Amino acid sequence: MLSRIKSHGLNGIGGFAVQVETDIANGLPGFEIVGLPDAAVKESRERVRAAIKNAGYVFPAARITVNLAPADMRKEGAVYDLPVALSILAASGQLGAHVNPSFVTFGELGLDGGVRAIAGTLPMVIDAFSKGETVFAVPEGNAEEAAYVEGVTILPVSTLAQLCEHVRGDVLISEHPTERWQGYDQRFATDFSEIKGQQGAKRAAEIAIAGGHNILLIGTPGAGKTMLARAIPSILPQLTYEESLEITKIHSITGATKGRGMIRERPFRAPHHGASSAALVGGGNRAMPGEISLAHYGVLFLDELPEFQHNVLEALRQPLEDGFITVSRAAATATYPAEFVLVAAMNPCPCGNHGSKIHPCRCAKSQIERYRGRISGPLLDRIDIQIEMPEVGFLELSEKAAGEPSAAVRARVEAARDAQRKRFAEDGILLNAQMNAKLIKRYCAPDAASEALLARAYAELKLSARAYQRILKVARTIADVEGAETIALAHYAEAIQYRSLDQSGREA
Amino acid sequence: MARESLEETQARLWLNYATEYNTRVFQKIASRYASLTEAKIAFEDGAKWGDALPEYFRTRLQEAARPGFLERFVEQMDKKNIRFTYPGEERYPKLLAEIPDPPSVLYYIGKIEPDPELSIAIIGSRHPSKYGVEVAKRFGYELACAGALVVSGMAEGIDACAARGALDAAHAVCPTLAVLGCGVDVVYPPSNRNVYDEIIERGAVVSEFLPGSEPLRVHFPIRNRVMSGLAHGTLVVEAAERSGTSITAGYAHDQGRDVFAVPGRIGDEMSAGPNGMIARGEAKPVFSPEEILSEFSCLHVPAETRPPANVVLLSSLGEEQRAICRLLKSGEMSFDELCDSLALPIGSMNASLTELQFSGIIQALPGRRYCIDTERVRLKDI
Repeated sequence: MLSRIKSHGLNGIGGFAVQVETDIANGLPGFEIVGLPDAAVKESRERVRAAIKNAGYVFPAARITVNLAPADMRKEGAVYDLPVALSILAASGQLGAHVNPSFVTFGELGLDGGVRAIAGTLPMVIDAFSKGETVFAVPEGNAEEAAYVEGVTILPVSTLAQLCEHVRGDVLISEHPTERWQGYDQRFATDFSEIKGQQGAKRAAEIAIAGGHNILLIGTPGAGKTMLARAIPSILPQLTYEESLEITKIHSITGATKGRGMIRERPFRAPHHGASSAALVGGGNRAMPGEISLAHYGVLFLDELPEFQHNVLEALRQPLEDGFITVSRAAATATYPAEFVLVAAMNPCPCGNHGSKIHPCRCAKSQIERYRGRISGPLLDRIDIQIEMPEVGFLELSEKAAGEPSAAVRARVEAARDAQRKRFAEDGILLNAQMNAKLIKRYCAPDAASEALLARAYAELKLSARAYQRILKVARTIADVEGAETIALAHYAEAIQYRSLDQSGREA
Repeated sequence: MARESLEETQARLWLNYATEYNTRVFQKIASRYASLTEAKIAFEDGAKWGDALPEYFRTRLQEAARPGFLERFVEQMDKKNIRFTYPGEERYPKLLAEIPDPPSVLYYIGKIEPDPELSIAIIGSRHPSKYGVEVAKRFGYELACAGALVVSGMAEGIDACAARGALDAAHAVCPTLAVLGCGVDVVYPPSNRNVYDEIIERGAVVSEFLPGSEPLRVHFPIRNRVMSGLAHGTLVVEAAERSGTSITAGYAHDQGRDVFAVPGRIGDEMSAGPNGMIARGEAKPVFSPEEILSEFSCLHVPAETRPPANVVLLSSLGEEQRAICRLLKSGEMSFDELCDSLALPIGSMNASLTELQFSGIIQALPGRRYCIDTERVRLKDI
């Protein structure tokens, strides 16, 4: 007899429908899985055999051929255990007449016949739904994330036997209630009000987020760089349902969402500086998403920026510009979104104390230059705001009053982003940071007095033409944050303050 | 003493090449013979002392004695405009010849003033504070203006600032001399390339180390005796308690020269050196360049004075800028400290700072600290 069970496969965050076909024929007992299965899929033979037995069914002593169609797409992981087992039972007539159930199913089996949660449920459900499927039998641990997709019916499965009874019509599995988008999760790790002092840096962070500018924090150890970076997600605009869905999709591929449901906060990713370029931008033989995609719609924090390997940092340049990354490997090619705010932090010099009053710096000028030189010009050019954070003494820490809460800052950020959306309605961009030279000319033209100040700064700081454009963009954002229609002299003047590396370069 | 014969000079370069900076070995060998030429001939004939020398020196002596070697050596120096002088020769600095172990050959690029009326070495830390930088520049400048020769080691920090200050004295003929711890053709540290180029243009870099020598650690203490030896007096500006600076000051004492020190703020690490020397009576405190000039009673009326600082009336500034200037008048402050004291919106604080900065009134320091640019402006509170 022949049976067909519907399942699904993943390729990046997209997917493809998979048919699990089983034929049981007379002959020497055997069990073959064909259709480009990888090692994990092949191993499923042993799990399926044991699970069927332990679920109280009979593993047919016949020649069993399982085909995963289409045969030219590579199938990965243990997701096909459940459809394969179901297909064998259907083909051997143990499920009665219903050999071709209408639902799509996937899941990993335990030897006892239990069903385990898998990675990638949400993107598979979304993809299959877009291809016309509506009913899904998914592992219980994945039911919550899948149930957020509007319009689908989710059947949570905890054991193989349960699903078999459902197919036979003996005991039906009750539908998982549709999950409602519960809104933006506002419990943040760090609130802006907890950061004492560092007014200047907080303001710089606000401007960076308002205009989508990347930001580099430079400061002595203990100045609060990491704390500020951790607080930045709390001033990002509220997450929408669509954004949340996209974030969850990416995180689901890595299996991070098992038993968790939707991701309701903006991601904050802080890879260690030992990270490889594959870890950062994505890779592996299955072309998995990297940190930059996991930071999609959130913050990518690179602490100790000069300590990252050179090639790793260079790999960031293209996605910083494009907002997505295409990971190509021999076995797979996948495109992942990667729109994130880059927050980088570094010490001012190798010993970390340059500019400190308390601990004098011991580095030679050449050492400092070499240290800063590790960040290439092209990468630095993509970081609009560079801000030095002065050291904070103990007394100041204990005495200072609490600052402004994140919610108030976020309100200004959202207002500024609204203003930008209106301005760029016809230009096809959303944020000031995305302006090209033409748009900068149209929206950021300085008046005579500002032009004079900029010319002086340009000459004294020996700015590059690109750095000059960055100042104009940041000035536009400052005006937006202040709610000003036109950019005033003070806005340009403030923007110049955010070129710390150019300024300290002048010391030499 | 007149110039040596060509043969004698050849013999001198031969012995200097082999013994390098080991002046004592040079003198020990030289003292056996009436002339260096004789020493060379004796060595080539297989004199006994040659065998008694350490292997290293013997090999170098043999190497330098090979035919054509010295000619090539001199040719190489000519290409790089390196010249040399030796004790007794007319261009050899007179003050240096007085010390117990003067370099047997002094290599130089530029022009040496062998007998300056006043020569002051300015020494100090490689990691000075803003205060140290200002003081070194000011003393370098005003001493050079008064016609003194400023001797420095061309290291980063105080040395480079003193040389820079001296070079700023546009009308001084030979404002500065730098004593290197490497060959005169080696720029170390490389970040001082500009200063180096200007020094060889208007003064000289000198060194007792062979051209091409790397800046080895052991060189610097040896070099320091030449710095103090070239100067009538040595001025200490900012140094840590125990440092190369104290070695140089010690040499100055041994050579019977004066040591001066500029007092620093108590509590600062870089004040410990000069303040300690003053406290122990090892150095005379000075508060202005004129004090050094009057000490040597060669009080020139300075040929030129620093261009007068721009006088800025506080009343000419905006209210916010005025408030910032008032605060900075009493010393440098960080961005945070300014914010706390003024309670201005951060945006207008940033804007005011930029404007003050590019009007040349304040200066940005590392660590987001700001100070009044006292070299360029003087503030008047009216």
